[in-house]
Amino acid sequence: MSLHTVKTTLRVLMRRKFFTAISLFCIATTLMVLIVVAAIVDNMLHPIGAERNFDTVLIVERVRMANKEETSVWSSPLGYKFIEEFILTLKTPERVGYYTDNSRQSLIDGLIQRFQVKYTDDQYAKIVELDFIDGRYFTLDELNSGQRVAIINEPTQIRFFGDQSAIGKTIEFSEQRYTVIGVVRAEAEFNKAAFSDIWAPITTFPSGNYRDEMMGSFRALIKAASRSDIPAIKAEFEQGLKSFDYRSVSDEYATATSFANTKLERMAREFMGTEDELGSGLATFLMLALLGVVLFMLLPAINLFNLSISRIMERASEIGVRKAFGAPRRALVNQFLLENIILTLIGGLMGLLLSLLALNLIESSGLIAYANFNISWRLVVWTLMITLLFALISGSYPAWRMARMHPVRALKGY
Amino acid sequence: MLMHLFRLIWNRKLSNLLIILELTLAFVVLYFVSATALHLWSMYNRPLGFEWQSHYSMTINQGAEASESDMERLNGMIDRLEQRSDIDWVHIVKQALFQNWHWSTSINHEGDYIQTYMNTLSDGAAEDLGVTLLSGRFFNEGDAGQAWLPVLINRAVSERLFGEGVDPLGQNINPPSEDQPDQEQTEYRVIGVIEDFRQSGEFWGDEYYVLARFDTSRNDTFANSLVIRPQDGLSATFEASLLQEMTQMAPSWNITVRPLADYRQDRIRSVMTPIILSGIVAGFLLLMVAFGLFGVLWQNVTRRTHELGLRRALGASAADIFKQITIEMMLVASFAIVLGTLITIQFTLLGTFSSLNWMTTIKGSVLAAVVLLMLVAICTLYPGWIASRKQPADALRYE
Amino acid sequence: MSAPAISLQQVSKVYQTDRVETTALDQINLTIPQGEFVSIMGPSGCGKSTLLNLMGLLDAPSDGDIQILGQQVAHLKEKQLATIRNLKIGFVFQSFHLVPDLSVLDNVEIPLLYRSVSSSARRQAARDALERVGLKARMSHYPTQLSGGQQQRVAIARAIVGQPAILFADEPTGNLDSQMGKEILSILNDLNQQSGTTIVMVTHDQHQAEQTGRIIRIHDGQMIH
Repeated sequence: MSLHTVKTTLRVLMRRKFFTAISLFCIATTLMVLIVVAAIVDNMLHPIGAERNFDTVLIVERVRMANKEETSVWSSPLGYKFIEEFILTLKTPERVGYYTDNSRQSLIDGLIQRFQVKYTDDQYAKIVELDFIDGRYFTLDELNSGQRVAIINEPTQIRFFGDQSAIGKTIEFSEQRYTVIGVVRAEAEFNKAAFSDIWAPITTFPSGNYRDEMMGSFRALIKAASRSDIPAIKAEFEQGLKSFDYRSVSDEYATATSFANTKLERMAREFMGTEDELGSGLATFLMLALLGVVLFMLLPAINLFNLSISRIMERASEIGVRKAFGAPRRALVNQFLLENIILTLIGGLMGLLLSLLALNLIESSGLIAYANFNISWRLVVWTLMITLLFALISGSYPAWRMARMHPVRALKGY
Repeated sequence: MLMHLFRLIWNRKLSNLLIILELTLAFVVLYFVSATALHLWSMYNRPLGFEWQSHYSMTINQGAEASESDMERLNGMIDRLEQRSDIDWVHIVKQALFQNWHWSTSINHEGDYIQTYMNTLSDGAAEDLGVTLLSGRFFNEGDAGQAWLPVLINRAVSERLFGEGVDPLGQNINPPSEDQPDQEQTEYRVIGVIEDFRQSGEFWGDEYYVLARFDTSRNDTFANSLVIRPQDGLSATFEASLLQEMTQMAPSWNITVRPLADYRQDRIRSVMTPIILSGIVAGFLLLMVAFGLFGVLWQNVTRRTHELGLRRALGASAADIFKQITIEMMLVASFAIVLGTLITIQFTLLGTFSSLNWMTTIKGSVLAAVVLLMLVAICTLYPGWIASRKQPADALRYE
Repeated sequence: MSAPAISLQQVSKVYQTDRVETTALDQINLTIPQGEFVSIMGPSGCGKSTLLNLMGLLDAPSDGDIQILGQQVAHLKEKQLATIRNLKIGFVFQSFHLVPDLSVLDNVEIPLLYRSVSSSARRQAARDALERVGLKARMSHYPTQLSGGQQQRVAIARAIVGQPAILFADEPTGNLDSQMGKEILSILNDLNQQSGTTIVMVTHDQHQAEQTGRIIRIHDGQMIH
């Protein structure tokens, strides 16, 4: 039975090349767009590189401070003092690291070169697991003594030193000379904690002014011992902010609001513009994402639905014959559903291949610096499920309707 | 004829319903694409208000809050730049051009408040940047030491606060108010009206803009952004020597030198990239709809062989049949357009997207309707032609 | 002989369109014993196709009783009717109705798909049926590669592959020239005589009708005796 159906399906698809091509185009492009978007989001939320263990990491990016009357409000990335006086005193985290992003220009052979420098502490490298090709990260001693040592990524090594190893060589920025002690693999731009061209100890920062700031350009990473510790850390963070004495820092501020976010929460906050609000809007964000997918799939689904009906209508006489020879409805419904599933699976496979192509294109376009997309098994399984759902939605009503067709009318062809 | 076709469409409502639904959604997609394109195009064509082609931007990140010595150092740097023979001029433009630095504030005239963006420019900056002056004058040294600060307002602010055709020169903005005596506001006096100053570039939608004077003689405000015009245009060597000289003067500052054109390019790219990507997706969707429609129509025509043959037998010409099929489809499409417009108009009514004003909505709807009708027409041509070739004999064979 | 192949009692069929009721068949009483070859004749629109559809369980009567091989079908569900059609009945249509997407062999095995028959037995039965109509050599061809007469022979093979007790043929020679028509008729005759299959055939051809055991004439929904 099913072999017969598969054979019939393939024959039908081969004979109606035009219909097949349209349907496959429709399925493949729809799924391509979905897979590309899903792959990018998946890579943002579950990266494979240095941030691979970020499911136990909370990110603190902003702090909002206000005076008592709420007439003066400041909102910005964290200041060093805020991290030192508050985040580093938290008890529940396993460790805390921090970094500040700076874009730097430097003269190399008479030309201006631009690159990203992250000034960090030593704990940073224990949370962000940079993939070392050569050398190592700086130590606590080097940090404390303000050694001018730097870690660079592979593209930067190629840019400045060609195919030679950069270890032991020097690199100059902010009028200071740094010795390269490590080379790491490049991280995609959207992995904000791991993305940089150069890493250097915070103690080598050109000016020491940052030490007194409550608000500045720092971000903190809070590492939990395990995922189950996260609620406790969040609770301590929230509680601590309430009882934190701001007057020790500055009498301008009366309240501070800040959040330790997971990657997903951060994405929701960024998208919803709720960086400084109490609720992350995560539920709304997920709803909107789902709505977006549904809306996007609506048009292709209706299109496929129409095509399915047309494709089946054309075969009214076949249905009539099968019914006359005693095919029960269920057999006919199964036949047409299976046909639709086979067609959709072929389209889904094409969509997967197309999305690989599109992702490659995005990688090589430089639209997202150092992007290197990985298609996970989770994504493939999800794709497969969505593909099947697509097949069922677009195919079940037409199949049901055709199976109910009156045999005499079916034989007459309408 | 039209009524007859209406009845025909009505009698096949189920299959037409699906086509209408599909076309309605396609119309909505088309509408958003064309409204966005029209909106961006009109923004792009509005005058920017200043020149950027052969200028450098120099931005300074000096770390913490600026101290008095920082300001002295900055003045020293500006002096040094002015002495260089390869530089035409250097000016302070406090909120850097084409970047995401903004100063937004509320100003009022006789209790009429508006939220506006502002910038502070040193003397000569407005002239040298090629800002179009509609009336009044630019800043000069004589403006120093007044109780009020001189400002240049753009046409939109002038028309909004003082009314169209009214000359605002000499008028005061933010006079000390008696209801809110503790709210300290600087009093401004309008000394000129400019066409516009769209600080963040062509795709910056905000209308109101006010320029204030940066007083270099006072040492109480720091400026993080300079605009420099080299004598011989943009060059990598100039850029490098500039950076080198400035970094040597202030090694602890993070100084960036980049052509304004680069910042403008970044700006355009950051707006256009998502638009182009969604445009590609929308293009795929529409191509899908076109193919799908073509397939469905083709099949419809095959299925209606009987009816069409019968019409031929009853004396309809091939052209009549062709016309019938195309007009029928156009009616269905028009219905979808009406339905789609009812949907899209909601966005404008609810004000979901600030960029959708009535003008854009109407233009966008018309453009979307025209494109949709053309799309449908193209998809109908071949099936219509097949239909027109049905012979009366085809109809009879089914008996 | 046991129960008759087909028995109709007071069978009527009324079509309901918007406001008009059309009586296609009016109180037909008819018994066809097993093994008979009957032809039905009548002018266009007289109701003979309706009669065939009712007897073939493709349509339900508005009124009256139908028995197939002694079984009352009035209260049977769609699924049970499908089973009877599958096991007891075969059809041959005027316009062949072969599935263009399937090979000759695949077309012939269709009725067996809806029974629990192993795939190899199914293919063997289909090959045997094709042999009976003399088309075994063409079994991997596709319908469009065959002439009209050959297509109708394939259709007959499909109708008999499940060894039905009753075969309905709706103008089986209507789309064929007279030479091919003759061949088809002789195949049906052989089938009736060798396997004892009951055959009910609608035809316009008086000459063909005379070669069958009995002629039933229908006029305006009624039988003429």
